[in-house]
Amino acid sequence: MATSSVQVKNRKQHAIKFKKGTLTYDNFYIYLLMVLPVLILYMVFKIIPSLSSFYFSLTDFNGITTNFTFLGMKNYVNLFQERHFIEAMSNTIYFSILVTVLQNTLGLLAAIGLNQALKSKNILRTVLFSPALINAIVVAYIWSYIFDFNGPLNTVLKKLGFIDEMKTWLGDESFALYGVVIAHVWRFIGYTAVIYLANLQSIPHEVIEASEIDGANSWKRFWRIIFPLLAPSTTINVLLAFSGTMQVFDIIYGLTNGGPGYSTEMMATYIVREITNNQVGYAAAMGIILFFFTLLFNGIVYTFLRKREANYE
Amino acid sequence: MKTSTYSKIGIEIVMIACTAIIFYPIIMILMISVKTNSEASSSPLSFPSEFVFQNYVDAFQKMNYMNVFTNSVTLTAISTIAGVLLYALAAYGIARAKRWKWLFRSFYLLFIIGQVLPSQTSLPPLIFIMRELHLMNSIPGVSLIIIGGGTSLAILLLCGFINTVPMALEESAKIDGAGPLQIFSKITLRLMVPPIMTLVILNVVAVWNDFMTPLLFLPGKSARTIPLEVFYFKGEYITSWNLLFAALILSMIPLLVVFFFLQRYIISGLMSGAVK
Repeated sequence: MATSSVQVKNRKQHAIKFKKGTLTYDNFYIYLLMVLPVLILYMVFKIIPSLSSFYFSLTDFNGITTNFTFLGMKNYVNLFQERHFIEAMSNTIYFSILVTVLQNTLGLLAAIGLNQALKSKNILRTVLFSPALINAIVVAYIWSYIFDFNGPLNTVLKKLGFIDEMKTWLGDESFALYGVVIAHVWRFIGYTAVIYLANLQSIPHEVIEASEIDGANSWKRFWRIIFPLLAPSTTINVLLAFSGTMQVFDIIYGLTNGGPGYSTEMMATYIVREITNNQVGYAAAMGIILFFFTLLFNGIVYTFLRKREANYE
Repeated sequence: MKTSTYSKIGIEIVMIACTAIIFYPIIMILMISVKTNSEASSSPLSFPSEFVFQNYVDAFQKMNYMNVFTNSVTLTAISTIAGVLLYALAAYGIARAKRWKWLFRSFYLLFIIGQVLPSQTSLPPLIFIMRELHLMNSIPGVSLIIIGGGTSLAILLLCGFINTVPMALEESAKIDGAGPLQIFSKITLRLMVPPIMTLVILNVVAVWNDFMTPLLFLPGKSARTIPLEVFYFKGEYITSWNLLFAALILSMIPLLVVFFFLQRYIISGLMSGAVK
């Protein structure tokens, strides 16, 4: 693809030199000129780096000097023997599934609540949505305070008598991942709810009234009528949550930095760590695995959701 | 649906209570941010006994607020304004090219491929490229990464829209002798305002809150953006939660203020972006 952008460049010069007077509506070059700036930026800062990741992943490139040696598949062999990387892969997929399920369940509940004839509907929607606009580092710090040894969670739990001894929640290997899940889901409940809400509001009243006349109770009505009609927004929300969390980085970096041990290490945080350690070749190999990993899992989720949507139509 | 007045009030109360619980962390940091350091650690959940607004003054100075704010605004503005103009131009070119359509069709496919490339896959070589181009710590330089990385979604969104715009308007302008650039700037660009607004909102929220790109490409102290400064702030003032929370509030304010005034557009913008 790199050659095509060079060809394009040559054509551009050619066009300006010889056909300057003919840049008219039907001229082919004017459209090329329009596409060119974005094409160059996209090639230089997205496609070329992504493609060269394939190449660098076969080397011991350190990102600074170009006298690297070719290693073949060694980086990949090492990666799959490294227990911590396997752990990061399983953490990532576990985190994605947990977040997707929780975020959608809570978001849908909130949307159903907001869809009632409430007086405070608009203000509630605004308030619920606002965490989605706070940056992940701020969210991470808010929750690292909540989970802190002297933080509100310990204080409240102790006062209510649920725990005898206070603990540093995020220092607990068996809890840390759930802590990050809570913080992440907290940020996006409102966003998810708003997407469900728009879909709920598009369901015609007649459909619901008809089911009422047929004697369906509200439980049946939800699962048989409303939930299937929410298929489009479910697809969007599940895909957004799932593909977003497969590359989760900042909230982890701010909240636990992958610790304690490797209990919250994700693929993306691992990659950035290796880059900052100047293990760029190794990081590139991880990046390639992340690419196939997201392609595979997003593909599975996407196919499943599409099939499900088609069934309901 | 007929629901009794009691259950209506009940639902309303439950919803308000749930929302309050969800929003409580923000109220909490707001209250701690005006406490003294000792009160913040001794009674974190109480209402502040006195309001220490000095925390905000201190946080403002210690996080070098004007500097990081300017950096964030510059990064967001350059990548959004330049990006959206270039995307619109490219999308128009792709959708309206008359000859060599297969070439533009393949550009389109090439642009769409980026949707499945995780940003971390391009990161390792990108570090090297940015060093070689001497664009490290350069805010305009980092804007180029952001523009390049945002291409896929933008082209998808804008091309999808242009294809629904009838050619008749453009044809008549053409008969009047307007060139493609004129037609683009006088007619199509104006029709494209709705998807462009969606794109602007998506981009502003994403770039303003972006942490990974500045972390890797703007490591210098004077080039830090707000999220990056907040990140380092905790390391330096780990023991003073009141000061940290004042800094967090200061960092949240700009976008939340904008949101408060433009919330209808922002919510619908983020949503129509999500649908694509």
